[in-house]
Amino acid sequence: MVGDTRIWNHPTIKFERKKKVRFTFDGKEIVGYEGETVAAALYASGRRVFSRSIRYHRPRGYYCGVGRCASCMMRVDGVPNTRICTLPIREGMVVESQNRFPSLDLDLLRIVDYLFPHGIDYHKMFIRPRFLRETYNRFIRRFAGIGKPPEPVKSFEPPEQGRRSAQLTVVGGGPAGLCAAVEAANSGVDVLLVDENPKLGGRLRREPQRIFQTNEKEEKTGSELLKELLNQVEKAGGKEEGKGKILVMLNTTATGIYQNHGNKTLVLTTPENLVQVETKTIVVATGSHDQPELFENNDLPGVMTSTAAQMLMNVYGVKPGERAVVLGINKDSLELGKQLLDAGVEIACFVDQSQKRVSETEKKVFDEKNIPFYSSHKIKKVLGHNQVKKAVLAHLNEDGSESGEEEKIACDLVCLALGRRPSCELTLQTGCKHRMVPELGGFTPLRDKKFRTTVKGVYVAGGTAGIMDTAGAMLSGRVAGLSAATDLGIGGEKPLAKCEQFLKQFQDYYDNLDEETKVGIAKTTVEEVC
Amino acid sequence: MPSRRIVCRCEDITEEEIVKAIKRGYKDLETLKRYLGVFTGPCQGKTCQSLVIKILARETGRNIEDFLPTTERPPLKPVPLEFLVGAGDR
Repeated sequence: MVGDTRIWNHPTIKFERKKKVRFTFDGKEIVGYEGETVAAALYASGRRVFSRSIRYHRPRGYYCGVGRCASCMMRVDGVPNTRICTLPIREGMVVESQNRFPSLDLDLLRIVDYLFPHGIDYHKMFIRPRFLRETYNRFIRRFAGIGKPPEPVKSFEPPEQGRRSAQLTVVGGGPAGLCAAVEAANSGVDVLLVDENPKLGGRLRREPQRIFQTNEKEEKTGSELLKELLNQVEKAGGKEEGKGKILVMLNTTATGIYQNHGNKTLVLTTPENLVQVETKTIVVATGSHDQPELFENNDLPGVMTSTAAQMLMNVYGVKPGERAVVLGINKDSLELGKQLLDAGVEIACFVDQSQKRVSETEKKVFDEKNIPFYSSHKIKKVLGHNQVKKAVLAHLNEDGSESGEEEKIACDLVCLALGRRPSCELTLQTGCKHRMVPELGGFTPLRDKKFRTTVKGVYVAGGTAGIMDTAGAMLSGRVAGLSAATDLGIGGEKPLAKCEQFLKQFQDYYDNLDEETKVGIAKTTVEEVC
Repeated sequence: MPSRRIVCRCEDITEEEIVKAIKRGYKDLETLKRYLGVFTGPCQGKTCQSLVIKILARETGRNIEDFLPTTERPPLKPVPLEFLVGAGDR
């Protein structure tokens, strides 16, 4: 365990740390700063193991950072299985680890991992002899599952369910969602903008120092761009004649969509209750997920997605590690590399099977620092007990097979930056058509040029539509917002004309993409949707 | 420390177990989901989907583009039961 790993001198980002907040973790007092999440505060205090896995009790650490995986679930104030990576700290809160005996760092139940090296096959094991089955079951039930149920209460008043209606609901407050909301509201549509995070911004919040291209071909940092977009949201407040309102709901997740004869009901989960929203149209701009990677012990604490590392170092100002191996040689991973260096993390090397996607000039910063690029390599395994200590790289032949050459590299952090895949859970629920597009990383909803999906009234934008790049995501958001306005029949001819203009810009953007992405995006674009 | 190649972090399912299941005849995402429990943990497939598809394509020799998504059901994120108690028409 190391001491405080907060970043106090960052070259570009200033972290606000005003009020100290005290809470307990497994009986020990932890001090964090207001605005931090439980996971960030624990990570800053040196904790690396966050949970024990369900079957083998293997140690798990901070992995996704944005409430998508299950590696950080803890019992908080008596509520089991709470994801602490998205939960802000409160004074006096009681956080306890789960599924371990006697402690998180030393769990004796880990013996299961040693006893069953080839897995517990519950379809074939513990079935015979028949008369022992009940005994087996009783034994297994004591150890299975994660978390203990909360203490029973004598009486309680369930929170009342909320009801709302909206002309347009935009799910996701990243660059694409913000642009969709702004354009729709400027055309006169009342918009409900929903985001699961405590603040709007999506990836712009995560990468405040990164230089992004705007739609006007200017270069702006993430925080400048976010400020500009938030300004636009503010302005589209419905004060002017003919403009719609934008109502923002933060910390709110769209957890389900139900359809009945063309009426759509979106169910939102807020921290207090459920809210049913009768909405005429929906723009799904939920972004994308990091791609995982398969290697031995890929679940060891210290292996985390690029998003998780960015949340720690760029949002909460916590150093994710001392020495990092970055998996992936692409534009995003190089940016991640720069951010790691800014945060004071040493980079051991970049690893990927090929490095076709970056030019020599882009690599210059790292070449100057003698940071090696292991192209035609992969991570074979990582070693360590409760935390990554070494990564074993294997050299690959041209056909992708291992040549037998291996190299051990000391590191305590492995960042997965191997690309992303569209987050299409919500669009799948609407029933619109999807297609597997390997170029874009996974299942992607089909849509027409105006970003309408095959279900009437459902639009996609940004990462969900496979457009991972911010400039493209913003354009797709603008087009989606405007085509929703047009289809609602609000704003007359104006939205249509504006939409055409953005479509032209999008075509321009598309023409300048690399071949692979072009093919991918073309595969998701269909002429007629309905 | 025992080495494992973990595919599904939520349900602790390894590559070895998936390959075994495919050999037993569970050659679709939907059947694998029912047999092994991949995509059914708290993450609902957000972390492991790509890996399962990759392994399935490799083992069966099928084209990755032929795969169809599994059914997504609400809720997409865990919802406290007390919220659902409050959700009925009263």
